[in-house]
Amino acid sequence: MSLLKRMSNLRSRFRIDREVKDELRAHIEMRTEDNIADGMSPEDARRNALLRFGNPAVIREKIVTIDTSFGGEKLLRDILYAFRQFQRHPTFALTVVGTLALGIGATVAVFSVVHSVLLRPLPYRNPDQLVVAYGNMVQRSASDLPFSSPDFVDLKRGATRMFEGFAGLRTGKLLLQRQDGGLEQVQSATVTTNFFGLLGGRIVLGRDFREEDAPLPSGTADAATPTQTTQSTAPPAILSYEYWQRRYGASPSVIGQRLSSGPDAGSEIIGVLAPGFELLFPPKSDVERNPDVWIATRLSYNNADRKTLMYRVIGRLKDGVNLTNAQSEVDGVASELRRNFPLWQTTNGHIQLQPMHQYLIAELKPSIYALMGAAAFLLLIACANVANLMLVRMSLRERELAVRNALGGGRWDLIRQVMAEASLLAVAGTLIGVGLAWIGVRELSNFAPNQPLLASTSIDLTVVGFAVLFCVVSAALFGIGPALHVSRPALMVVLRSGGQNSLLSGGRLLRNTVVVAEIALSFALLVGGGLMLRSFLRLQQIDPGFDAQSLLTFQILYPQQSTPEQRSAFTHEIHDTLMGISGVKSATAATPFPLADQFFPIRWGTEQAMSDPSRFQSADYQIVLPGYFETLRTPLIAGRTFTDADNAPSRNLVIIDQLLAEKAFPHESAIGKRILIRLRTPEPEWVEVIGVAAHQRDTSLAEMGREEIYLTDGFMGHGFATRWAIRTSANPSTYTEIVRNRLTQLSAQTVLTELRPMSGLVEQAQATTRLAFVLIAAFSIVAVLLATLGIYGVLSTSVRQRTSEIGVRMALGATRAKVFGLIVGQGLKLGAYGVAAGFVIALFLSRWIRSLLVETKIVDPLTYVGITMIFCVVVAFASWFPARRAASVEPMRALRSE
Amino acid sequence: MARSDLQGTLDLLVLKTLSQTGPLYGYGIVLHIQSASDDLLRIEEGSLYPALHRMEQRGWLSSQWSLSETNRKVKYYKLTAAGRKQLETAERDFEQLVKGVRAIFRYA
Repeated sequence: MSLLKRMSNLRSRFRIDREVKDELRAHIEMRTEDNIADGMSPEDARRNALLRFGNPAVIREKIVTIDTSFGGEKLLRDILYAFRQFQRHPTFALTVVGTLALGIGATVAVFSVVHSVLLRPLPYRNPDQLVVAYGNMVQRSASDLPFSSPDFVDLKRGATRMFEGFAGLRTGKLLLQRQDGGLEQVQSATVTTNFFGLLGGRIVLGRDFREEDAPLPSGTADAATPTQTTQSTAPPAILSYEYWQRRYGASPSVIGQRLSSGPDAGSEIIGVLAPGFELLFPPKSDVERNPDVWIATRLSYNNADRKTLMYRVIGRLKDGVNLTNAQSEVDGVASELRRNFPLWQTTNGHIQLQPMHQYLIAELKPSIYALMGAAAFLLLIACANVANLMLVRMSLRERELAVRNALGGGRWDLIRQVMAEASLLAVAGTLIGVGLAWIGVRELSNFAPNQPLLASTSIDLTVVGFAVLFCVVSAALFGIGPALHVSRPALMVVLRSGGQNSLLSGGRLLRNTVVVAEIALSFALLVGGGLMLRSFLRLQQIDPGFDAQSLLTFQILYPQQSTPEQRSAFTHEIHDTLMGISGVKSATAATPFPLADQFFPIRWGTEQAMSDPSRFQSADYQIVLPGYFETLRTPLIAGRTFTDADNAPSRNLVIIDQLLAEKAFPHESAIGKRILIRLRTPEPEWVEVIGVAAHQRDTSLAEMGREEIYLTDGFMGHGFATRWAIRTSANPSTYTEIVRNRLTQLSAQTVLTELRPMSGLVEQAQATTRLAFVLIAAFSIVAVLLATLGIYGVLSTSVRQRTSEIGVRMALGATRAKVFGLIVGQGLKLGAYGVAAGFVIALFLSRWIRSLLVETKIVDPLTYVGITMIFCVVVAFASWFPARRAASVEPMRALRSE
Repeated sequence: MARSDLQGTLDLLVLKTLSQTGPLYGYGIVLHIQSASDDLLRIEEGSLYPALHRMEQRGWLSSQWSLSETNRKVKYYKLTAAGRKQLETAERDFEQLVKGVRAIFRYA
């Protein structure tokens, strides 16, 4: 009877009772009938039948007891026995459980990452058919570019054979005017009307967008200026479920309301999206993950708009279409565009397709594979270690097991006993390991908030199933070896050989190899950890070109006043308000702001670019208020900073950073020179350099970043520098309330967002390096612990094996110190092999983490030397206890036990 | 040593019966043992059932509810592969027991 059936028997005692009763009654009745047929009276026939049968009630009870017995009493006994074993030797049990917990915890955590990032399909309808399309400008070696509106329309119209359709989207922030006159900032996505239909976004209330909401433009308009959105009514909007709950209290009457109550009427709300719909794009695409409001986009088909690259494009392949065919159709569209439009021609523009899932995980994949490899290796080593420890344990109990065997314990009984112990250890290790993984995964999502799939990593049922699998596999891995060993019917050998251990004689080479591999791997990991630590420390010391201490930053949004003068006046009011707060030393504003996840590219050139447009180069620009460099404490290298007088549209003055100065005017002063920029007008215009500032690391702390050009807010027409910073005399966090109050007093119309100290932005910029450092450090520490255990296990085994040899040596005059040295020497030899192999592995593998390093060389002598020393200590420590045991051997006893 | 006791003998009888007759219900087994032994072996009929159930637990037999020749609902028992193997072992053990007992009888 199968175990399953037995277990179901346990549950249905009542049914068994009835079945047994039926079976027995049938017997008695058949006997009675036969008796009657033999000529007995019915009463006699029945009495005789019962007589022959015995007491039915007693027999029924017997049967039911048999049927409901679990058949697992033996198993239970084994488990209880195993428990007692562990109680008697808690150090052993704890070591094994701890080792397994580390190995399984790491593996489960990594698997949950692999599961959510690589394996789980994207949460859209038939996600396999979704591809992302992006532009590549081969000539400018720029790739992964968004589409302009007319390019999108051309793609959509040109590629219809292989594609069900294309949807475009862009995200941003939107300022909504509430009915009470207050303002609210929301995350917005502007999408083509087919967007939800194409991706499979469900509308739970109201309706989806229809094409009439924002029809595709027909024909080609060749206007010289970019399209202005001048339509009187705004296109309709759909709310995210979460925003609908949060802002409208899930009221169904929201349909038909206006999004904003400003004079521009605002979008009509026509629907609410199903919960949990997210835009899954990698961080580099600059796409908001959870827009509050989705607005239908009005595409334009105006050639002047082709320079405005803003739409991210998702396409859906028709059934059965493969990527190659789809790509060749898209290539056709691109070559048509190159024929027709100079921008496509001069830049040698191409359109590239990539499956959406691949596009999303491309950045993460290598590191995940590396993690997976590390975790698998860790688990294997953990199992090898535990197997080693089990063997040591078994060797101590060899006689006990042999005696049990001699007393009639069968081979199978012994195997089962060992397996019960292994299973118990594996279960405990797995439980703790899953707990560790749970903590690890939670920390991970805190660490990597802007990696969409990584942040959604969680321990779900699949992962738990995987953990169970690990449990079984690891129990098998480290249990079966020792189990087969002990069950070998060599019992007479064992009983006769006294203290000698037959168990430990085999597999010595294997165990040594495992230990050397462990040391090598943990050495390599520790080198990685060391390099990351150096990078992390380096990152803390990097001069970002500004002083992040005592700076509070925030964004101030307000409804756009109509004239530049009004905007300029309001900027002054804000400035004065902030300066009026006691303890504020200076105040300024800029857009974009250093490390605030935004950068504006600009093209610039020197005299030469006038005649040869290909000499234009890329840089980033910032719009700043006078006082920006003073407030951020960015050193001025030459010339002067902006004054209030410079803050005007007619003043074509710029400050450049030292990188740009070196590039544009090498070996000469940049002050007073002119450069060409293309920003306010389609044609380049001249601006004069009045100052050179130190370079700021604006987009990332780890990298130098691009050259920077600083323009005044006035130059752009006022009101564009919206990210403010105040330098305070005390801890900047204490100023948040007063800033908020003063600004509300100034105008109820302002919205204050992203209020945080500058040091917070710096920390965020260090997050990737910190994550890599923490991950690698965690892995390497675990690996070193395991390696220590491994050395200990092997040496203990060896000491036990060589007890009599040691006895002989001591009898022949070897001192205890010498014996001690003998064992430590054995450990050091293993350690030396391991470190040597680790050196090679580390040199080979460290190039993998090159991109994560910050101003640290891959071959960093300090790291290598330091870690080699750590290993000397570790090996000595692990050898210490076995060596002491060896040194304490009593020669007479050791020899007598022979 | 051969494992031979009364219970073992009953098991052997049942296994042998089922190997000869194919699937059979309890009462049928009793009748078969009686007739095949020329009425020499009469077992207490009730004690057959715990043995049947125990052997089923051990995987030697499998069972199924079905109708008897007289259209009565009865539980049929059938030998499994493991049961067939067990039968071989039990037969061998029994032979040895008999041999051993005979030898002692002769000695006396």
